[in-house]
Amino acid sequence: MDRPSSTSNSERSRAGQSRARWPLGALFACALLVIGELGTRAWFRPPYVTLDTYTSYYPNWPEYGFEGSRACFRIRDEMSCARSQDMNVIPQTFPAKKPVGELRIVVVGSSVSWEGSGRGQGSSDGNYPSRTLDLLQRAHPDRKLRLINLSVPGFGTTREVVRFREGLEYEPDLFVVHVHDTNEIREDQRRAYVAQLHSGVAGKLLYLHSVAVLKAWWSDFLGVRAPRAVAPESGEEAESEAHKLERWQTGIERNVQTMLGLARARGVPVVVVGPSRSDRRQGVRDRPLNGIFEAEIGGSAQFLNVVQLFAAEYARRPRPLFKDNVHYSAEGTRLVATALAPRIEMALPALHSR
Amino acid sequence: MLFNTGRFALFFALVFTANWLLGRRFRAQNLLLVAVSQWFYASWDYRFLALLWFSMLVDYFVALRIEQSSDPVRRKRLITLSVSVQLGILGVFKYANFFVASGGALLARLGFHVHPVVLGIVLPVGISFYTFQTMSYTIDVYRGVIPAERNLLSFATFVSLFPQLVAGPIERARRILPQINAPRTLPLAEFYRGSGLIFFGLYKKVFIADNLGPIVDAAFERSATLTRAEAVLALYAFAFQIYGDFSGYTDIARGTAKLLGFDFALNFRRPYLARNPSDFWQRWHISLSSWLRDYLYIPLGGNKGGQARTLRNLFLTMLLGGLWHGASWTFVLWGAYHGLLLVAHRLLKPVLQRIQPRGVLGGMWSIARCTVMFHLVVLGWLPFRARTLTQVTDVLSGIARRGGSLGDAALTAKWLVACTTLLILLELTEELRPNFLERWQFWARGLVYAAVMISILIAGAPGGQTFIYFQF
Repeated sequence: MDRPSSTSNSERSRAGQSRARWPLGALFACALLVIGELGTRAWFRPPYVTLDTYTSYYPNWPEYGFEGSRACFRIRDEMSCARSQDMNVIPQTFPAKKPVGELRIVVVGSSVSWEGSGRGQGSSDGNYPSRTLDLLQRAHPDRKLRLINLSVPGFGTTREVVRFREGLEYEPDLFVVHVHDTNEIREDQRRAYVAQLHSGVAGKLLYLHSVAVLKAWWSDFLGVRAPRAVAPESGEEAESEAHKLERWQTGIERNVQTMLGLARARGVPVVVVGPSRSDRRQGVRDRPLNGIFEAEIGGSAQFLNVVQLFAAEYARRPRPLFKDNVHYSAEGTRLVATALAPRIEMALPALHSR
Repeated sequence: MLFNTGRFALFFALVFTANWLLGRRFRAQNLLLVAVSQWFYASWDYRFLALLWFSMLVDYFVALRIEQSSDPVRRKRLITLSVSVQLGILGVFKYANFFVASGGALLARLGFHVHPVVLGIVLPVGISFYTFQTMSYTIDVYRGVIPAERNLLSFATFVSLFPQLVAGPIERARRILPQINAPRTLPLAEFYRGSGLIFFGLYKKVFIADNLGPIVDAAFERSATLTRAEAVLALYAFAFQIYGDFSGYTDIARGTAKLLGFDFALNFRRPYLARNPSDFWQRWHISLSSWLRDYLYIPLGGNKGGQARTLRNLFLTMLLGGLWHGASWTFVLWGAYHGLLLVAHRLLKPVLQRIQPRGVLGGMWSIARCTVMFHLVVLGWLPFRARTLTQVTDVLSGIARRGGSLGDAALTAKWLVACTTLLILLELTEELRPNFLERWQFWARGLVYAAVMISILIAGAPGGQTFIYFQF
C-alpha cells in the first residue's frame, strides 16, 4: 500500500513499472493485530467488557445485554472484579471456587447499593451491603462470610438480571437484590446507545479485548472518562409518559420475578430491597412498586421496604436519611444495614447451623 | 453520504464490483459511474441535481460551439457566456445573500436605512468545485489546449464523477478526459495504492480531524474568555484538524478513484513543511491554487508587467481565492492575509536568497523557515475558522492577554500530542525520504499500518462527522 501524500504525480507510471506482489506489510499488520488480540485475551484483564452477542438473557428487550460479558474475570484460580465500561463494579477479588465453610452473599443492584455515604459520590466505602456484612460478621464471628457486590451505578433491573446470572456462577448462599426504579430510564438510553455504538463491523471491532485495553490506556493518558451510556431516544421510543411508566413498571416486575425464579430453581434465598426517594417534608417518598413487591414477592423471598423503614424513623426523629435524592446518608445507610441483617439471618439458615 | 460512513463503504463496494464486472467496456462503465454519481449527489439534496446538469450542459454545448467557430469575436462571446453562467450560478447560490447583506450594512453606515431582501437559498453542496471544474474545461477549449468533448456521457462523467464531486480535487479535463475515454485497468499495485490512500485518509479524518474538532469547537464557542494558552492551542488544533479533514477527504477521493481505474491529481504535499508562502500554495489544495494560477493570476498578467503589477495580481488572486471558500468577510480576510504573505515573500525573496547559509547552517535555516511559515499559516487559520470578525478579534485578544490560568490548555496539548505525533513523524520521514514506506521492509511497514489501524480503532470518533470543505 501507498502513503497518501506520495510526492510524485507520476504514480500511475510507477505503478505500471512496479511488480504486483503480496501486500506483506498489510498482512503483517493484520497478523500483529491478531497476535495482540490473542495476547490480550491470555494475559490482560479486560478493563472493558466485551460484547460478543446479544442473547436471550433479557426478558424484555433481547437486544440489551451481552453474553460473555462479566463484571468479574477468572484469572487462574481467582475471580477478579474490575471496572469496566459503563460498569463501575467495585474492585474485588475472591476465589473462583468457594472454599469449604464460606457463605457467600451476592448483591445485585445499582448506585444505591454501590455507593457509600462516607466520601460523597463516587466512593463505595461503607455502603449498606458492606455495613450489613460487618453486622453479620460481628453477630456470627465463627462464620466465614464473603460479600460479592456486583452492583453497578445506573443499572436498572434489565441489566441486573445479567449480573444476577453471573452471580449464580459464584456459588451464592444468598442474594440481595436492590431495585432502584428510576434507573429504568437509563435502560432505555442504554438500549439506544448500544444500538448506535455497536452497529456494523466497526462497532464489533471496538469491543475486541486488545482494543478495549488500548482504549483504557488512551483514556487514562488523556484523562478521558469512559463514555456514559446516554443516547437520545429513538423514534420508536417516543411514547407517552404514562405508557413508559407502565412499561417500566411491568419490566421491573418481570425482571424481579425472573431473578426470583432463577434463585428458586437453584434453591438460593433472596432478599429484595425496595426503591425509595427523598422527600423534603416527610423524609421519604413512597414508590408504587413497594406495594406490588409486598403483595407479590410474599413468601418466595424476604422484602425490605425502605420507605416504611425511613418513614417510621423520620416520624420518630426527623433528620436527613438521604444525602441527595436517592442515595442514603450515613444515617440512612446504618438504618438499612441494621434492618437488612436480621432479614438475611432469617433467610439464610446456614448462618446458624455448623 | 459521507466517505467515513458504513453506508458509503457499502455503496462503494457495490459500485466497485459493478464497475469491474463490466471489464474493459469503458463506455458502459462511464454510464454506470454517471448514474451512481447522480444518486450519490442526490443523497445530499436531489433538488440541486438540476443545477449540476444545467451547469454541465451549458459548458458542454458552449465548448462545442467555441470549437466549431473560427470567429474570434464569437468565440469570445461564447466563453464570456460560459464564464458568466458559472459565476452567475455561484453568485446567486453562494454570494447573493453576502453581497446584499454587506451592501445593506454599508448603506446603513452611510445613513440610508434599507431592508435588503435576503434569499432563503441553501448552498448546493460542491457548487464551488464543479463550477470551477467546468469553467477550466471551456477556457482550455477556448485557448485551444484541449479539443471539445463530443460525447455527453464522457463529459458528464468528467464533471460528476462522485469521488471528486462534492469537495474536489478540482480536476482538469486534459488530465481526466483521456482516462474517461479509454479502457481502464486496475493493476494489483494500483489496487494497493488506492486502498492505502483510503486507509490513511480515514486515519486523518476519523482519528485526527474528528478528535480535534470538538476541542476547537469548544474553544471557539467561548472565544471571548480564552486564555493565551487556550487560544494558541486551539489554533494549533484547528491547523491539524483542517489538514486531517481536507487532506483525509482528498486521500479517500483519490483512493476510491484509483480503485475505479482513475488517477486524480495530488492535492496535498505535506503543506506544513513549506518554507515560504509560495511553497505553501504549491503544497496546500494544489488543485485550487494551480487553478487560480492558470485561470486568474496569469490572465491578470501574472508576473509580467513589473513588480507592482505582479504584487497586485498576487494579492487579488489570493483575495478572490479566499472569497471562493465562502461568502463571509472572514474568508476575505483569510485570502487577504495570504495575499499579503505572498507579496511580502516576493519582496523579501532576494534578501532571503542572499542570506541563505550553506552546510549545517543551511539545514537549520530551512528548519527555521519551516517553523516560521508553519506559525504564519496557523495564525492565518484564525479568520478561516472564526464565524465572525468579532471572534477573530476575541481570539487575538486572548493571545495578547497576559497571565491567566492554563484552563483547558493542558488537556488540549495532550490531545494534540496524542493525535498528531504519528502523522508528524510520517510526514517528516516522507519529506526527507520520499516513498519511504515502499522502501521499508514489510515488517516496518506493517508496524506503521498496525499503529494507524489501532489509532482508528481506539480513538476513531464514532459516527460520520461531516467534512469541513463540504460547506464550500
